[in-house]
Amino acid sequence: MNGRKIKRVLGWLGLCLLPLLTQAQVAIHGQVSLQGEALPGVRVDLRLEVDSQMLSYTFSDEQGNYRLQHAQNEKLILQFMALGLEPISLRISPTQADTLIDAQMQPGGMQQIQEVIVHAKQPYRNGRDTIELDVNSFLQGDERNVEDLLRKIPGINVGTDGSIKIGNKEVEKVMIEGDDFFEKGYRLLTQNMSVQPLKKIQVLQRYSNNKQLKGIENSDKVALNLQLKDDSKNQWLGSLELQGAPVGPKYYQTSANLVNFGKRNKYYLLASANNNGYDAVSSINHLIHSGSANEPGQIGVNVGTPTLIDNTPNLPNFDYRRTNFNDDKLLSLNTILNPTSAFKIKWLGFVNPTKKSFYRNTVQEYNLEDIQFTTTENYEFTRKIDNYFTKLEVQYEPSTVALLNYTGTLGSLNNNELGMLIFNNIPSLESTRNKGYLTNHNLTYSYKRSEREALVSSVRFINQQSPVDYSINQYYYEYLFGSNSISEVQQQIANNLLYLGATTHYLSRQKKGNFFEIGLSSTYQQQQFNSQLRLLPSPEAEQKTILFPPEFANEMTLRLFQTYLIAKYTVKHHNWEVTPRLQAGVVQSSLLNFEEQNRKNNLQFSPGLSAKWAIHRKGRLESDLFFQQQNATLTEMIPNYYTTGVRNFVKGMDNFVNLNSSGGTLLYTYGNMSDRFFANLHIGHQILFDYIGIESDLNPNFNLVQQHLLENKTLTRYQAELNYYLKSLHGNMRLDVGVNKLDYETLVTGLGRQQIRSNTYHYGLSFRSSWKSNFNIYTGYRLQSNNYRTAGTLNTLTNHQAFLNLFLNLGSDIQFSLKNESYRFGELPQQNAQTYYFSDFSVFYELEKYKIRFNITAKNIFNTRSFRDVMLTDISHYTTEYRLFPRYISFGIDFNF
Amino acid sequence: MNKYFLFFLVSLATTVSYGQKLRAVYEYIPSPMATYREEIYFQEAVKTSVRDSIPQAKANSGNEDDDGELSGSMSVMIDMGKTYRKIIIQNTNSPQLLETNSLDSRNYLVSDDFPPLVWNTNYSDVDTLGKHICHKATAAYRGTTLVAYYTNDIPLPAGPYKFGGLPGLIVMLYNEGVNPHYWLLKEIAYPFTGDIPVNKEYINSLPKLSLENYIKKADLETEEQMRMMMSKMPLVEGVTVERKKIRGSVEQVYEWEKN
Repeated sequence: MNGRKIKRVLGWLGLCLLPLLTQAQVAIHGQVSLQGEALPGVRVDLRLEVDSQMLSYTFSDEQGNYRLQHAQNEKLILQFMALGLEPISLRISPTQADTLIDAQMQPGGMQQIQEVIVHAKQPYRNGRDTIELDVNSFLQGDERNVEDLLRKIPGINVGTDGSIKIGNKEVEKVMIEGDDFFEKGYRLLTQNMSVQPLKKIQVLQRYSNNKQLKGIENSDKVALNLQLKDDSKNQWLGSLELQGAPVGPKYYQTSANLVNFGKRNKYYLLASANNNGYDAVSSINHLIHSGSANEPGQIGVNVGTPTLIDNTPNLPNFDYRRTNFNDDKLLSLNTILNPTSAFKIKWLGFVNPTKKSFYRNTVQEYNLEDIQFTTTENYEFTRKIDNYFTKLEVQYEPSTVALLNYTGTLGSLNNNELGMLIFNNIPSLESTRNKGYLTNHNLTYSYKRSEREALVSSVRFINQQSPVDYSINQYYYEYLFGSNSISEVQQQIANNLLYLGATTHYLSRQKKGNFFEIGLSSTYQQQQFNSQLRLLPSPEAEQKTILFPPEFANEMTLRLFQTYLIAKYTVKHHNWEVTPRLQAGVVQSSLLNFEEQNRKNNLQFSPGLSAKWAIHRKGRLESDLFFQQQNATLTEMIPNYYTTGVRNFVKGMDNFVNLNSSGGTLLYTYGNMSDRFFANLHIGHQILFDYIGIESDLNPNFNLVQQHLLENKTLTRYQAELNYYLKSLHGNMRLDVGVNKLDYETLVTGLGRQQIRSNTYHYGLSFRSSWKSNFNIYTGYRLQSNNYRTAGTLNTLTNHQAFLNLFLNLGSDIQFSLKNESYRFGELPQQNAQTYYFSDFSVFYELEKYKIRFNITAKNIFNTRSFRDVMLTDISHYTTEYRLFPRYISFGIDFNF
Repeated sequence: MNKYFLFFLVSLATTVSYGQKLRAVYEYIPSPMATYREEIYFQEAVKTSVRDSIPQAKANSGNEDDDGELSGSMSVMIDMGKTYRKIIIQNTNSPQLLETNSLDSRNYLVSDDFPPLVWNTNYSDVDTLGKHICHKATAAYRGTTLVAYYTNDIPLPAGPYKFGGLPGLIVMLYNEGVNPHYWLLKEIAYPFTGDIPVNKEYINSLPKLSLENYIKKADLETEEQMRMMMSKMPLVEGVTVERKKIRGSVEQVYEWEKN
């Protein structure tokens, strides 16, 4: 028997068995007609007689025929229904496999409908901006973590780096049961947490950090909230990262994260250590400084003691990790407890024993008429940091419209700095000790009066002490204090702050989006600054007394009591909005300098006006005009000199000043990021009617800086950013042009007032590809030219910077990147132009199945060991050379468990 | 052959035949920012849907709660070029339907081999919308799940956009996802004696495309826009961001895109 015959026999057999197989199915069919004519579009449905449950339905076709099948043996109702016709209900109990039932319809039934339907529930209005998704609808069984689940939800876009976007907007945070630890660092959660305990995912649009301000303040933030099943169990999850250089210098980086999220209690532990330049505390910065200064009803957010001696390298546009020789350790413990649904406790604590070192050589040259000299500083600097910090946040919700929030921090911030210095070829040892203490308490009460009105009140108390003990075991100041036999110069500074502030804001979002805010604030601030310079005699000195130069001692207390009113009102129209604003207040100041007391009361008045206007479909104009009156800060008022390092002695004005300024900005935006052409043009002009300028008394070994009140400083800024997507190259070409102009005065002792005009120009051109291929590039060039014109002389410095980054993506699990940078610093007298090259390479390989990621990183491939930064100022130019991390290769592994 | 079919379908939609006509007006809400008016005309198994090209003005909606959020953000929207009314003509007895779609300021007549919706009506959920008792039904549709509430009171297999095939008129419909599109039935008129506001000569004169070709063209356009945006984004350390396609429409995955 061949194959064809077998098929034929099987076919016949199947045909014979068909009636047996379909015995359970009964087909009901027939024709529907109206006055003898076939009637299409009539609904025919079959229901159970018992409970009217619909079993199946169909509509009659163009010939009026219908056909229904069912597998029930019970009593059924066959119903024929159409608009404008009398419905027919037939009680049937078909037993035959093929039951024919024709229906003759008659006019009647519902003849006419004129109806307007009002939906009680409106999407987006009822739940406002919350979209709730049931996790079970999206589970397919192969999800390892929350991120895998989110990838399956239409509308959520998860990048390879774990960033989560709703549309094109990145989410602010991913919360669990409304609690959040990580803010933008949510990957730690989404990439580690299992989907098992999840019940629902909420997408919160126009999210507000203060829930009572939801829908009232303007917000375009998006957040996700994960809701857990009631019976979900607490699970410990985490990740481990290890990275090390096996050959050459022993650089390493390691960190371990451990999280446990239950419905009520949540824990997060982090331990990390590295010596490869990475600042470990930066990974928990968002935990320390949670909350935003821009939120309404906040007070004293950025109030603190001033930093007086700062030796941190300042290298803008340069990766700080190349110069930061460190030994960082960090241990952090965080918890959120929800004892009841209305009560939440958040606690954070960390210790951070760290050592940072850097090596810096500076050559500073002065070439001003008669004043011509050069100073040199060779610095080997080590800073030991011992920070202990704890923060407690308690949230209580007495009702659905009220929220009480307390935040308290306590910190012991200790720095011990030691500098091995060769200053103007004379070696010395410089030491700076800071033994700081900080306590900061804030209580905020928010009350939502209605859907459109809220009241937010805050009280804050700060007590901060930042004493500095400075000493240098060399006497460079003979010209200043006389040629005594001095072995050591010491300075002790008491730098204390006491702050108490209270504010109440009323916010109202009116119809058509108009927004009104009015606030009343009162603050009391007491700042104490005591300093004393001590010249210690050397053992061979004739006079063994310690000298205290009186011009270098301070004992001052500044008290400010301010009461001010803030009001703003935004008027919105469909294509423009205008916001006038006003801050007006009374300042009562008192300055105690030793025994002498000075008092002043003054009024301050700062009005402003900002406007936005969508000129046409693609263009938008924003402008701001302001007049501002403000006080001078503590450091600008210090009566006598204090030292800020080996060379500089600074003093303020010993007087109250009221600084007036006025300005305006204009910003024009054309298009947006997804347009071929996208441009930003910015113009700004500011006049400082009063400003604090400086007078420098220049000497090779010291510089006496005295602050003065000067008049009329102008700042003008033009900036343009033009983007054009080149279709032929499939990439974006960007041109940046900027000009900054400054006109002001500075004083140099012996030379008098110097009129300074400074111009900074920068031009940048870059190209970033967006190729479909696995390979992409990002390359660019930037030129910056800086000049100062003083009394007919013009000093110019031109620096260049270029970069070429190459990316290769071989599938989603293996990625290569090579980053190259070059810096070229322009010529200066006695200084040739110099070029530096840097190149870093990295490759990532991901074994998704085992939740392991491997990486190999090669840093500083050209092994550039030093970097000389060149700067120009209004009275000098200087070069600073930094020692850099050598070339090294490290291997790393990230593991999630 | 295809051309003749298209012509036939357009003719069907615009010829006044012997049956009575029903007009239903839906509010189409693709996002919290915009609401469009969509009218459907149902007669003799042929459904014509006409959606306005411009969103409804908030002021005309008569809702006291509106607070001008549309103007509130003042954001510059993505340039969609010139937009046209969207017209869909569908015969419930045939899988192929016709729709007008615009791309790059041009309007096209697009034919869609519409996959039959297999509705699961096996739900006991009942909701009263307006004065109608509505029953829940769900169906898988092009990479998303549709949730519909229909009323048995109006025994027509009609609904908004391309949707229908339930025992009664759809009163509310949305798709599950982060960007749900909602359709809410607002008005019903039966019998409707007015004309269907569709010009058959105009529709027939439009350049013709299959849905697959149209979507491929539109995707290229969207991808180009995405690329333009990606090429302007700030560089994130060591990471290249995946360009995943997110469609702003209800449809996420088409038949030819599976596997």
